[in-house]
Amino acid sequence: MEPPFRARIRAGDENSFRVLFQEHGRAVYNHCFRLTGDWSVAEDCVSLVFLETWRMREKVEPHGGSLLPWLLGIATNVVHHRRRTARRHRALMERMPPPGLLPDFADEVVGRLEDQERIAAVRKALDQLSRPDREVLALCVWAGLDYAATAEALGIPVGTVRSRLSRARRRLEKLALKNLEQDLEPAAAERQQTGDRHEAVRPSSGKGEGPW
Amino acid sequence: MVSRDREQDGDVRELRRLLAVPAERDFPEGRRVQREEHLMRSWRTMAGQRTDGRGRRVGQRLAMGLAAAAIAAGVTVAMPGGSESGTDSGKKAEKGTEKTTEAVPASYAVQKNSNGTLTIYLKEVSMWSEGDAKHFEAMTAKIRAAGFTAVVENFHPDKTCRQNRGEVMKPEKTGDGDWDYRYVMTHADTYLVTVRAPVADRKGSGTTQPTFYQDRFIKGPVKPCDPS
Repeated sequence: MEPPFRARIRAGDENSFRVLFQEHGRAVYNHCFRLTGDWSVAEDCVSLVFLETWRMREKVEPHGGSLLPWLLGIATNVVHHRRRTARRHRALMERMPPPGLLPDFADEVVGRLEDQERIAAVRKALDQLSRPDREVLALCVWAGLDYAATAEALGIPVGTVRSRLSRARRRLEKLALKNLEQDLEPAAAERQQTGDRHEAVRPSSGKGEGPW
Repeated sequence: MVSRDREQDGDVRELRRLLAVPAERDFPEGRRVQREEHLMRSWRTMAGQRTDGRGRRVGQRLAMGLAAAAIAAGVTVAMPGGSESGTDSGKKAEKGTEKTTEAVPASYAVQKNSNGTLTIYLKEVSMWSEGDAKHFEAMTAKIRAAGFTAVVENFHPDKTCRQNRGEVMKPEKTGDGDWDYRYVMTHADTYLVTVRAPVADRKGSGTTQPTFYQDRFIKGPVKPCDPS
């Protein structure tokens, strides 16, 4: 009888790791993108995540469901400790064939650039949160893990996941409200304010020329 | 508890609305396969390594530390092929086009070409697993013995150089089954090895990170280190 998938992963079976990559590579790739804001960095992070996965394979629980929470937990750490992890696997990563050998299609490139602009704006808002809150949010809200899986990925109690999400929501709503108030402020000042008057045209140069 | 979960689901929904992210994408065309192949090769390379960090680190520290100390001190080490390592950039060039053979399992070969260039053949990642230091050292010696430039730089752990040390040469795939990659050096080019001394673990666990090696083939002479 074939041993269960987790047992094969723990034993370092290469084909099982290949299956793991085929099944979850895309989810890890997108999670890394949302955390880094850069598709090409995310690609490298995926490789690092699966190299780390191999290194840490004996830590996989023998019994359980999908390994996605475990992978996303590793991905979260890899992104945070990217330099250190990259140093650990640098020799292997340097043997990676240059990505430029493959074609990039124009529409695809434009779409990816738009993604990066969009995620940059989101990340700006996210910067207002603490790292633990951001991590819970990325796993639970974006990667779609439930509370228990998020807790498993980060090695924290489920209650902590709940409280961090609530805190993140409150904080972001407060910030959104504050931004809204700031946006409305200039519109409220309809009458002229002291010192707000400036010359509308440039002074004439004295040669009868217009201001332009 | 049910009502509480519903409330939490409200948090998720609201956060999804506030922080809408782009739709998921797959890897760019062809790169999924490329990454998968790279990972398969890497896992095979890592397969012989232990997964418990401390045992491996101690072993690496001992092996690499000794070799690094030898390189740092400029110690002359007799090599199986009969050439010597050291600071001399190589007076005697190896003649002929035979690939050199090593007593250790062959992870690289150095071949002088009739047009005056030097080809270095490498096995896929294999040389970067066990005994890295020995391979770095031996390859440096071979390149120097062939009359080409190999530079070994030793750095304090706190010192780093900015990355632009010159144009890094890209490996060519050989596709011959014996070797995976090759670099072709001219006399103007440089083989650069950077050796970083072991770093003490900041958490005070008593462990240290092993000596770190990095090698690159630089087109032309290597630019001076720009410390940062």
